[in-house]
Amino acid sequence: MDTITASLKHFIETNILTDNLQISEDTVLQEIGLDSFSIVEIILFIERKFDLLLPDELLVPETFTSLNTLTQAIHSCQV
Amino acid sequence: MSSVTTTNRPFPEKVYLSGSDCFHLVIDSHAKANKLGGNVMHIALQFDSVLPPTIIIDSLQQSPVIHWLCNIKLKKGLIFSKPYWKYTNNGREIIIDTLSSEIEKTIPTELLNLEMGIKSERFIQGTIVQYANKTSALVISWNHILMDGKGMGLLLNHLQRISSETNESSTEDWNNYFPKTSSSQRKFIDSLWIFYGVKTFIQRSTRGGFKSIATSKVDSTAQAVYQTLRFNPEETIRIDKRAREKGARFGSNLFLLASSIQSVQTILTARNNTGTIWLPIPYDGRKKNAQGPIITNDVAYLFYRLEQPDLKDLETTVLSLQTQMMDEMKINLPSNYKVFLDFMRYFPLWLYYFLVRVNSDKNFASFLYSSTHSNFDQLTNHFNGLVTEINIMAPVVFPPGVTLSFVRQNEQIIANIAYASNCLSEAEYEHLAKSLRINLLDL
Repeated sequence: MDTITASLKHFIETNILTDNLQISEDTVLQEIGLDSFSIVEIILFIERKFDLLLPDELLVPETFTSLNTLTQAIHSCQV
Repeated sequence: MSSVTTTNRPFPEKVYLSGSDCFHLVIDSHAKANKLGGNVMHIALQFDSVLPPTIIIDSLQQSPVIHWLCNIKLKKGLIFSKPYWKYTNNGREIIIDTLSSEIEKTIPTELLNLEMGIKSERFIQGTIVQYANKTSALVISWNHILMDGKGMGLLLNHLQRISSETNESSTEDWNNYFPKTSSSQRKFIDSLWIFYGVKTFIQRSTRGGFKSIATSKVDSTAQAVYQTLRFNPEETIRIDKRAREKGARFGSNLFLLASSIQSVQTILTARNNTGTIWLPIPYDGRKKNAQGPIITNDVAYLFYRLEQPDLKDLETTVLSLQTQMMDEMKINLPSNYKVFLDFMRYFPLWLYYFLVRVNSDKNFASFLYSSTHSNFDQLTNHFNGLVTEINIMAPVVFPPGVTLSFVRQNEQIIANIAYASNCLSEAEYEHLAKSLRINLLDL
């Protein structure tokens, strides 16, 4: 698993999701209950962890669909 | 009928109130002092037919959660100790009344005016409403001190599980019902520091006061009025699309809030009484996908302060809300506010209420607002019936005298406006409702 994906997975499972719930790279995050507040928490985590501000064009629902889409968004900013 | 067995644990004898629960004790005091409003919530599940009452009655009466809720007493504890629920095991069952109504999908006024304060013997009851057009509803009324909207959603899920015919027996986990006892290792001095930080933030956030629709005088003839606006699936899609067009990046909720703010602003403008708008906005503090706790208000708060430039138009308001939301989450304000509220539990209620009144000029907010987000999205069948609509009515709190609440379920949005009749005239209400529709739908 990509290290970025692993970091995101750990953060979401530890801080956002209920105990013992695990997600895969393709899990649709909205379907397991992630809401607008969760998205903000993820954005702030990305800022702190990767020293990265997601640009406006990536602050769209599609970016937060799954761990994979989040990872792709972060990679695109690091290029 | 499925049988329900709990784990071997007995019912908990004592459950401490959370910080948010205790704030509802303050609202209870506020309602008594102002002789209007209160803390009673109502959830209405609308069915497309008349359900046999026995299915509903049996389901509610066999639930251990409902049993516990019907057999508790509020204990204030000794001075500077936390209030708690004491399980009394009086063998009480939930009261389930039956009412008739001519107009479908309405909650009868006598139910909306139900009194169920903290000195009541019961804090939850059910009512089956039968409408003239052969549809029906189950209305569960409860004192907000017991639980929040999310908790009620989880309770409905629990009732669904134990009433399902496919389950011959079901073992429910007590851990899901009650709040976990705090395992925080935080030192007292750290908690005190957080308390001080939050107090300073709130004081700064509310400096100079804020405007609301409430009149300043207590009026014993004032009534609570409840109105509902419904948006069909097509309109709901339009609202969500408009939310994105107006800059709401993280879902439609901030857009719903911005539209509400702008609508209240039109009333204040018409009265030549504009100024700062200040709002504490609750949201579910549970971890996502959790099945509990049910019995508590597990709520976090964000606080929004809007000056006149922020209220220029919808887009500007949405942007301001979004910016403030991110700034407050960056400094962990929601979790710190929970620490603050938990601290306040130790204050005697009279002192707690006094401090709130003194610091807020006797008013809690410009108006009250809540949204169930997607708590009931999946609840389309219950008690063997097709659920056509779920609505939650939040009570009026005076002052500020207006509560706006949104429910989203089954691809529809419902907006409820509860107001005190001494705060808004009928004409002003019509203006507020029209303004809300215009803001949401761009009519």
